[in-house]
Amino acid sequence: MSISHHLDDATLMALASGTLDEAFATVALAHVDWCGHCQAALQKAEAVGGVALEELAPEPMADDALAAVLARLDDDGGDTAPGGEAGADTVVDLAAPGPLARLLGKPLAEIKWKTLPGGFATYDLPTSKGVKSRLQLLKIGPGRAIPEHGHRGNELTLILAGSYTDAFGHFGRGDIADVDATVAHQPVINSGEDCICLVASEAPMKFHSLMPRLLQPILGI
Amino acid sequence: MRAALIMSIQEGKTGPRDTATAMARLVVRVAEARDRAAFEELFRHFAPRVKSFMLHKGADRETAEELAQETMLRLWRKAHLYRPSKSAVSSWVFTIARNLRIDRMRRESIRHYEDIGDYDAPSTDPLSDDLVGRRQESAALGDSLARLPSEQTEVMRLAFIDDLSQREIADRLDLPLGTVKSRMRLAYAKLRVALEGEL
Repeated sequence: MSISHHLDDATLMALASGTLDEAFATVALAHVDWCGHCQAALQKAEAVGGVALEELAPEPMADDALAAVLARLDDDGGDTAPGGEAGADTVVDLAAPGPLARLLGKPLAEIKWKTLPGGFATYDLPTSKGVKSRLQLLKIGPGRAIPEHGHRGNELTLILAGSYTDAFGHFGRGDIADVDATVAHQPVINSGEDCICLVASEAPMKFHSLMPRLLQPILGI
Repeated sequence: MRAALIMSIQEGKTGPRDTATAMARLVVRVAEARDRAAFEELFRHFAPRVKSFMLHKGADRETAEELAQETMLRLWRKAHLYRPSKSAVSSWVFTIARNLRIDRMRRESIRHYEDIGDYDAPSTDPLSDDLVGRRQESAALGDSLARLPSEQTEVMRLAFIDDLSQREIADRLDLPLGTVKSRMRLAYAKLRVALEGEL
């Protein structure tokens, strides 16, 4: 996979600090899963966390803490993290990066799309309670264009299949479009197959013509 | 006195470089020999810091204690995945602590974040060889952080320690979101140079 569009450094820092909104973190980590360049870049940002940890004033542990942990060292653990390594990596789908595959729980090819007018289909993905932004898959047919739109908030898009072009260039499988509220663009699908994207959006897109505005409640994008 | 991110790097007989090297050696002993004495030393150094980290991020005392213990357990179980040549122990422990905390807060029981090292295929080289190429990551970064303009360290502190999103930082500092983002980018660019200089 040749990836030419990467995460913005500000997004990388938010991701490393663990403060990126869940929907956005999912898309960003799905990209990182496929992108060696961003894995290395993320690790550099995570080093800031290491410095922060060293500089925090230590908070004394409970008196019996060390003994309690030592007593558990020989447990095989069955990993202690909820949904941790055990089982979570059993979903392998070359079409979907790890974080998405785990969230879907089934191959991307088997999901039931919600078909919409204009050659669009969507599939909503769950996020935790209280997460305001939205996480969804978007499928757009060959030759279709997403009407020119701006954004009321940030939007992060990972291309999973197919490709599109807009004023920022050509976006193919593995590329990420990290777009903020100041940007307006009009992606045109230029692949012979459907273009499938994983999209986190802070606020609905802001269309510049009447027709898509009328479509918006249906499309839900 | 406050420097680097929050306070001055501890002065003393052993500087941060020595501490970081010592910590990396300890993890290698845990990985290669399941050395409990080495683990105890790591526990004494990191557990109280991880607990402090959790408290800063709003965990109650019981949860902070529990997550600090879980972090150390995971360090024991995953020590074989740690590569001294790739990151400082403190950065690796930070990712473990961050991920455990995020898992705890999520409704969906799906892990997204990976600990440092999880992306790499397991290496068959002895870890002790890897120690030779160890990067002085935290020390180089500490030096670099101390030289950044305070407005840049401030936004990093608010994100990495006080757990604020970039939008929340903008609100807190009464700045446009774009300004917070550009301070993050500037800080990151300088840190990247500092880290690459260590390779």
